[in-house]
Amino acid sequence: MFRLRSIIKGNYLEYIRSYSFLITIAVSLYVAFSFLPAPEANYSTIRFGNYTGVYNASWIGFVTAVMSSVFLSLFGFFLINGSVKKDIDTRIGHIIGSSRISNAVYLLSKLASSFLILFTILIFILIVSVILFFLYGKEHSFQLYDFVIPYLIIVVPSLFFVASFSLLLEVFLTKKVLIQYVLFLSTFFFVLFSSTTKENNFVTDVFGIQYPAKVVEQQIQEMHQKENTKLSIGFISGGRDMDKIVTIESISFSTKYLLARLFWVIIAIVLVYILSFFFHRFNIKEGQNQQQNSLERPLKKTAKFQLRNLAQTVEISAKLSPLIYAEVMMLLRKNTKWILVLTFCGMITMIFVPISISHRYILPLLWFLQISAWSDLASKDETYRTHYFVASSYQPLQRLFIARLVAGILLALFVAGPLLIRYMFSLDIMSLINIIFGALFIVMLAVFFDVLTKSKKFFEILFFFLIYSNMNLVPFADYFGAIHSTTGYTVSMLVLILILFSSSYILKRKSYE
Amino acid sequence: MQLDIKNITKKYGSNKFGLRDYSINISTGILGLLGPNGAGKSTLIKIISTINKPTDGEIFLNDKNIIKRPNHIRKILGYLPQDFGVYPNLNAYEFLTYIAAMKGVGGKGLRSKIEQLLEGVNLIEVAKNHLNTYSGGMIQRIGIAQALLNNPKILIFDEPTVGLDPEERLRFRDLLSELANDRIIILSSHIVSDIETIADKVAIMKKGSLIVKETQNNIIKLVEGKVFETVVSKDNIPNFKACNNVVSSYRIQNNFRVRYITERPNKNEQAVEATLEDAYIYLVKN
Repeated sequence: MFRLRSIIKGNYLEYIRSYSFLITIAVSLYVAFSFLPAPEANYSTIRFGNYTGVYNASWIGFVTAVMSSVFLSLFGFFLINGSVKKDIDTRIGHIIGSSRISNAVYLLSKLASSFLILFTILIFILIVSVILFFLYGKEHSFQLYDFVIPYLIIVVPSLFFVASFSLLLEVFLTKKVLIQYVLFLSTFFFVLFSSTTKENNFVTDVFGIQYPAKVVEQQIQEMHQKENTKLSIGFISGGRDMDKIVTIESISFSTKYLLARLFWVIIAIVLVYILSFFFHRFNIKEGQNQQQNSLERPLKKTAKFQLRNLAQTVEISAKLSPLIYAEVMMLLRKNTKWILVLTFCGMITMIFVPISISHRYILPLLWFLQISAWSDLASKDETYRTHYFVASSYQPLQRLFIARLVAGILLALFVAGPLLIRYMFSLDIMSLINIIFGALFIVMLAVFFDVLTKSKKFFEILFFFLIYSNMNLVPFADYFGAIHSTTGYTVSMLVLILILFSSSYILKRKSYE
Repeated sequence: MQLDIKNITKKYGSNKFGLRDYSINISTGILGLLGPNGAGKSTLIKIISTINKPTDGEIFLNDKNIIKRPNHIRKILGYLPQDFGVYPNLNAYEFLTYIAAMKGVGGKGLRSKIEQLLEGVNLIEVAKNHLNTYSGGMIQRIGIAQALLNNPKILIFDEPTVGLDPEERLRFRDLLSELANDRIIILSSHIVSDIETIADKVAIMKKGSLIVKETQNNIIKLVEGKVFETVVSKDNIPNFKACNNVVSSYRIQNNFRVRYITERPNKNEQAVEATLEDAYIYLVKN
């Protein structure tokens, strides 16, 4: 027990002491504030038909708990996913693999520490929800019960399940991060869709939305019979002026519901226990192959270190082209073969389908496929431990940093190539410029968050939300002119790109100092 | 060529020092850098190779301040870090071309230079394989090759022999001796024998300060007549080690043959020939 506690503590402290956790908390606080729209804001997060609640403790507790259950599960997965991979990358896995710790204890410790990380964020969100009450609902009586209980009952089991699901994907798809993300998102939206559309489905309602939503709906129905009280969750734009405000009383949770929530906690633990029978224990096939390859290498001779013409000089050259070439090579080779094939097929498709479909759907999808190539564009030296070479190189900021940006942009433009050519032929200069700006923007965004957080994760999470929004044609997320075509939009994109570039440049310069 | 390090201080936090008012003058030849963990060797190396900046002090390369103008030394610097990696998706040839571009060198001669280096470190046969298939020793050899790419006038090697087999170690030492004719070579190592055989001068560091910088002979003179060997029984070993400055001990049946440093030996004991390792232990422990 002591051992388990020590491992959990170690994992937990390692994560929360990281710089990226600070940024995560800052973003979580911002998102938590948005869970409850300000009275003057023109969006809503949870509504029943046209009904929303008066900002009393019950309604604020209910809304923020349900939103946390959904969005923290979604966000949280990307935060905690990779905990086993980290042990592989840092080679701590080999020490763990050779220690006495059992697979079950190791995985359970990962489950617990991942849960604790999410729970820490949840506490911050809870504090924000209480602050929101005193901002918007201070004329109502404050009941701590209305905040704490929904969080514990609705959100905690969701977080437990997300933590175990992340481990499930990590164990079976150890190094296939992108596939893990895609599988998680598919499962997430399937579960969310089924739990908001199907009735009396408590057991499959992972996020625990149905019962509390039904209780609130019944309260509204009692006041306004036969009205449309269909639940909507998300960041729903507009329509606040049509809202009808009702007073929602405290939600009491039934035993059946409590058991259903407990069921998900137990499922999470059992799932991890079952996983322990399949856990690779860091004996990963790829590693074995690599070792075999190096053993098979025909290197019978040892190094002689006899160098002819030691003093042969090479020309001084500050050319960027060799750096850009190597960076492009690295970007292309980082992608797996099937991503390259998919990208190529997508590029061909862009030639034949209607131009608006190419622009609105295929282009963002193809760019999204390059996520792993871009996400560590500026921080790969820490990952590969080449930072000493870079820091002692000739003008690293003016040459290498710029070369990496150029390589990233070239990749984005190459992927968008067929669409750019089509717009060129149709003389649609505005769309052409918007796509070029889109390419600049997405690479700058990757580099900015990479330099700021010293981790690729933040950009990856952001890119997932961007692509989700792009597929739903959310205007705010349109960074490549799929929806907008005004000059004002283009100018604002240019300004944004310049801000991202100069911020990244300044941050990078600081890191070299 | 002259590298003048003047009153360098590197402070971490409010009262933790990596280097404290450190000054040293380095000229052509091999300077061996010795010191226990935490002595500040890596901090010094990182500052000279422009990776870190000192909190205070200056470094001049032929009278040019490299703290203010780091690119002045970067052009002629070859650096092999202690802990480094490579880009796994590049092959050896591509990696060296890339590093050459980073160092600001290129042109027609580059290709043959890289081939020479790969031949020298015996990686020419596998030069087209991606680096993620290389073993630790092969990566170390790539590291050595990249340090020599730009025909550097200043070479800094931090634990360069890690991963090399004993034969390669000897050859590498020969290479360093050959290179030292017209270059500054700074060689940091925990292995005293690596430095003992080739360093023209040795600098011993402790707790961020320079204890001594001298030729090996002059350093060894500091312990001449103070190094002894004796046989100690197994039971008395802990007590002996606690009371004496022990350099090394090895087992002979149930006893231990112990090499130690003392200024007050027993009457019947004869001093043995001192080595650099003896001097190092003496200086670091006192």
